[in-house]
Amino acid sequence: MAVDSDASIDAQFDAIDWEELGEERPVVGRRTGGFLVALGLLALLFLYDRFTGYDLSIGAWYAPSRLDWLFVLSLVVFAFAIVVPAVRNRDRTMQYWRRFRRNRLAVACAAYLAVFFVLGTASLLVLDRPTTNIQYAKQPALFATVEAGTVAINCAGDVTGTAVQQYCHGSLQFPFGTNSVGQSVLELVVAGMGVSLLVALVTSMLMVPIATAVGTVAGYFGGWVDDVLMRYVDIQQTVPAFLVYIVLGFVFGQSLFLIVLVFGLLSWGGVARLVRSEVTQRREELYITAAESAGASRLQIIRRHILPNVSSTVLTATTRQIPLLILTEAAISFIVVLGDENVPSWGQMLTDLNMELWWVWAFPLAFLVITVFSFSVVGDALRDTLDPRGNA
Amino acid sequence: MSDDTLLSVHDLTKHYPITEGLLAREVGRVRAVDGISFDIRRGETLGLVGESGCGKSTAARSLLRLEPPTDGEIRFDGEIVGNQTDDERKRFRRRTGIIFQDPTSSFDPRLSIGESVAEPLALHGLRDHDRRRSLVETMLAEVGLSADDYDRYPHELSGGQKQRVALARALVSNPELLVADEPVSALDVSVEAEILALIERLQTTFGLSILLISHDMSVVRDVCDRVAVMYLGEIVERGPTEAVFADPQHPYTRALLASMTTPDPTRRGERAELSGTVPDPADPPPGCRFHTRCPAVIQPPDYDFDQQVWRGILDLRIALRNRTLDTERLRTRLVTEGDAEHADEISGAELRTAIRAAHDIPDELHDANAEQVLSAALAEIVAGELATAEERLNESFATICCREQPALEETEAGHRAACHLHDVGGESSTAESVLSGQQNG
Amino acid sequence: MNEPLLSVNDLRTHFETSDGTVLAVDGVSFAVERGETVCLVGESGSGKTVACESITKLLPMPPGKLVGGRIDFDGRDLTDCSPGQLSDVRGKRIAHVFQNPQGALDPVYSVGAQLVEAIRLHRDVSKRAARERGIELLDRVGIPEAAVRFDEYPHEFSGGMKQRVVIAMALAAEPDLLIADEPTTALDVTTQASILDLLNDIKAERDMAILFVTHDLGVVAEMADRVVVMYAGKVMERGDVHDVFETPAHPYTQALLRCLPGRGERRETIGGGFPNPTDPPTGCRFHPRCPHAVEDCIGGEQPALEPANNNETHRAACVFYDEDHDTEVVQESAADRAAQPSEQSKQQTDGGHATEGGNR
Repeated sequence: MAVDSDASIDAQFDAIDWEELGEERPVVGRRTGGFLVALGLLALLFLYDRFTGYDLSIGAWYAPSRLDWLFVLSLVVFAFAIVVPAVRNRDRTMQYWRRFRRNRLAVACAAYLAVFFVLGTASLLVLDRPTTNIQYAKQPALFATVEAGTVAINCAGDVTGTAVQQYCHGSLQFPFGTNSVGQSVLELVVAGMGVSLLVALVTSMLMVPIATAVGTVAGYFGGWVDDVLMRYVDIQQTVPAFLVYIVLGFVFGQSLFLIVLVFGLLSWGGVARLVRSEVTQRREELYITAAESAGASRLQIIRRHILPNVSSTVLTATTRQIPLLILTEAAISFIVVLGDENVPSWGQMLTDLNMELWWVWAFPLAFLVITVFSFSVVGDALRDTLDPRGNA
Repeated sequence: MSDDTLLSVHDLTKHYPITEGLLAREVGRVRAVDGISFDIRRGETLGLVGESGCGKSTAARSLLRLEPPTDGEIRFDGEIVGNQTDDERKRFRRRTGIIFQDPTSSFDPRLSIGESVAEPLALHGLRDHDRRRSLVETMLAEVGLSADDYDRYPHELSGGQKQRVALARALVSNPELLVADEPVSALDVSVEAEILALIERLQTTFGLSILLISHDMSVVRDVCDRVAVMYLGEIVERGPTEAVFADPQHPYTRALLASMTTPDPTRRGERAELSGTVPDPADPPPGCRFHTRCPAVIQPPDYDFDQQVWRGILDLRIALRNRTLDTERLRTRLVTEGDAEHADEISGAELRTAIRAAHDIPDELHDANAEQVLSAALAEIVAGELATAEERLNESFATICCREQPALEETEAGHRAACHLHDVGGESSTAESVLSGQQNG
Repeated sequence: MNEPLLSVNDLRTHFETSDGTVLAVDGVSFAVERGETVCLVGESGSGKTVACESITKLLPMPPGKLVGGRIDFDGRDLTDCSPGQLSDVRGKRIAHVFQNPQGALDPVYSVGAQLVEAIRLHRDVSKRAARERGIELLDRVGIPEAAVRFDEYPHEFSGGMKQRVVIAMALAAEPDLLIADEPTTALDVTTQASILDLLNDIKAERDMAILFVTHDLGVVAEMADRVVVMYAGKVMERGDVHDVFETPAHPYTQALLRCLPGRGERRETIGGGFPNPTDPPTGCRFHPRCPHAVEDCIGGEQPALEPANNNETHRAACVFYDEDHDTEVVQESAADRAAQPSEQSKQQTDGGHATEGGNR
């Protein structure tokens, strides 16, 4: 440049030979790298399990099935999509946390969800599945009693009363009691957590990328691309996933795998629509024009400015979709003919509606309600925390 | 085009199609920018002024190719901008920068201001993170912020500070051309002064050429070397700032200047105001686009009207042309305003008087011939023969302003203007007298 | 009858924020007589908007809080009024026009319907009569073809036309006082000129008082009968518009005048930063940026408003106008300003870091 560079700043800028620097080459970041490595490892394990005679069995309630693989994959995605960025961007996370903290109820719900997450993961990957034990069938929950001898043949806890009328009291061995085949209700509840967590995580893992991709492409490119994608979403939303599940269930056999697959692949329409409207707004922002004028390509703009700005919308919308899916899964399992009888779902436990053995259905029901409620509350609180318009 | 020219815009046009139906059939076009030309020399500041809706922002976006122009040629440093390779386009992007009016929407709320400023550097391949940071910090200091501001977020800054950051981001890749789109319109006067002073200082430091877009004549006057006045997609006057301000050659420029406020209460009321609003750019008026609002439309040679009366007759003609004059509506209005009981009871004479009043035309024109034409036309209007009336008025009160589009030509004052007042065959005295008449009136 | 229409005495409005108490308006007094225009001038953050929104309690409270002061409107203390009484005054006697006409009009109702509603809210008239009155008002504020446009929707109006509609709505109740908060800031210069003319005409026609809030001294010169200059929650200077422009008394007013654009030369800037609203400077709030500041400016309270040039109506809150100081130091007339423009203007802006003072 032919400018008298009296200021040192000019010298500093002149020192940059822009032609030399050339293009910004896509660099694989540490996070992306880590993610790829984790995926690779998982793939190796999967192949080992599939194609060698040595089954991996790490004490799960059934040897690693396709569901378990899917779950572990979801865990990896969850870790790299949410946990890693949150830890790396500690300042922002703390800022969100300070805002989130104001909502006491949401904090309590989030704490429950943390427990839910830990127990659910454990039940899926570590714990044995609840065993039947006829000897201790129909044991009452703690602080409850049943007639000993007639209802509870043996009693794990104290037995009181006269010789004619004996009462069996609940014991610490079975705090939630047992069902008619002697499975511990506590263990069943924990196993149910595993099922619900699996539904929540796997469907999200399917929904989030599809919804984000479809919404972003439709919103950013507009025109006929937008028309086609949104018409497809319209059609998809008019076909109830429930119906699709019933039909496919008769063809391929009902299973939890089918449930998460069908609901994961067919429930993203609403989220995609939200993402699209968010992207159409963002696209008009001047910082997008500024980036364009600085020489950013469409892909770079999407990656740097659009995706980070819609991520909170996606997160919130998905969190609010999860309770619906958990309820749907419970409903399907409740209608026994539709469910997967091998899976200890909370919905299945509710079928045992015996007023005398109330603990058998009351505890799963209570946890189902608490879980759904917590997801809803946390979803709302997340929207308040992450939505920048809320605190403009 | 001299060697000194950095940017040369020739006949830049940007039309937006208005489409209808499933097949997106084009039913019209919004002529946002309709063939404008100008040059910007190295180190020079060119002001582009006009009211909102005149197409000045669209012009800026199309010349930076943030939107593809419909037509026209843009040369940057001698090279045609448009059909470049990716590398060339990238290079063009690096050598140009832009700042906007709205400082809030200009920043990604999720990026710290340092990250925002560093973005162009990363895009152009400066991958060394530390070097990027140190450059950005220097730049922040240069625009009057401090290096510590690197990690602050946009919402923590005031409007003026954000505008400083916007400047830092636009200039960090060391461009040669800065487009500033209403950079101070959203700011207080005191902050505005600071930002403009900063822009001027940066211009010398970096040897920048600047295209400054504004609706505010006073801002343009303070910082621009040359100025181009835009009206409805066209440039109507262009020249050195002092010349344009000292001796404006287009009635529109005069009107813009006259609407400026002066910080002097003793000169209150000297402002002249411009009537009407900017016409729809999808349907610009024929002839000179300003004739629908112009206070100095050329009169037909046979008549000598008071300019205000002439304006009234023109307004009547324009109303006929645009089909906005409706005798039915006029009748209803007379009823609602209490001048008559029923719409049917209004006589033709009353209606004629109402039309005259609505267009500020006196009950009788001084010129008998003109009066004859006008009353005949009014009678036709009342009788519902609008087309005949329109034709009659057009024929008798013909003016070049409604007919032909004036070209942007050299005027006696030495700079260019697009106004018929300057091409009445050497009768420069006409232009002079009419224009000065406008100023006094 | 010597009572002013509106008199604001020692008004204090504070805001509770997480960063501390913002002293938005901190002891402000001014008066508006019947039929006159008073301009409240100041930069963003000076408290001018808060001051006039405190009058009819349009402010969100909390976080806003009227800490002290009296607001007398037509012989009645508005600070004592119940919300019901206040809403009666608001709209009927005192009307507001804001910067953004977009926000003042409901997009789903036609302009006419909103106007009719505004009229019938204050007067018991038939819909038909209200409609006639509405068309009259639209015509008065300069909307061409008022009878036709009456039934159109806000989005069919340009920005300037919308502001005219808002003014028509404000006039519906024939208020005694119109509070106009930056009504032309969002508009083009040409539109601004015609809106200002309209307000001036209406004021003369109806003998209505206007309290006009703006940061633009050019607009002040067009509109004001009297001027009140505010800075950081305090009144710096007040007086007749001619006095204030002819012989600006307070160094802040002088500085503000010097940054006006349009003289075709490099403008001066005030320099320094706008004070932190939660912790304003002691003494004169302008002293950290004042070119004439001396020891006496730094401590204590803001100096009292003392007469400048022995003129009881023109007062400035600056120590140089009390008995112990030489007034000459800070005096400057319009002629001086025009004569020596570029001497001080060479001083560079010293950065915006401190300037404009960070988070609001």
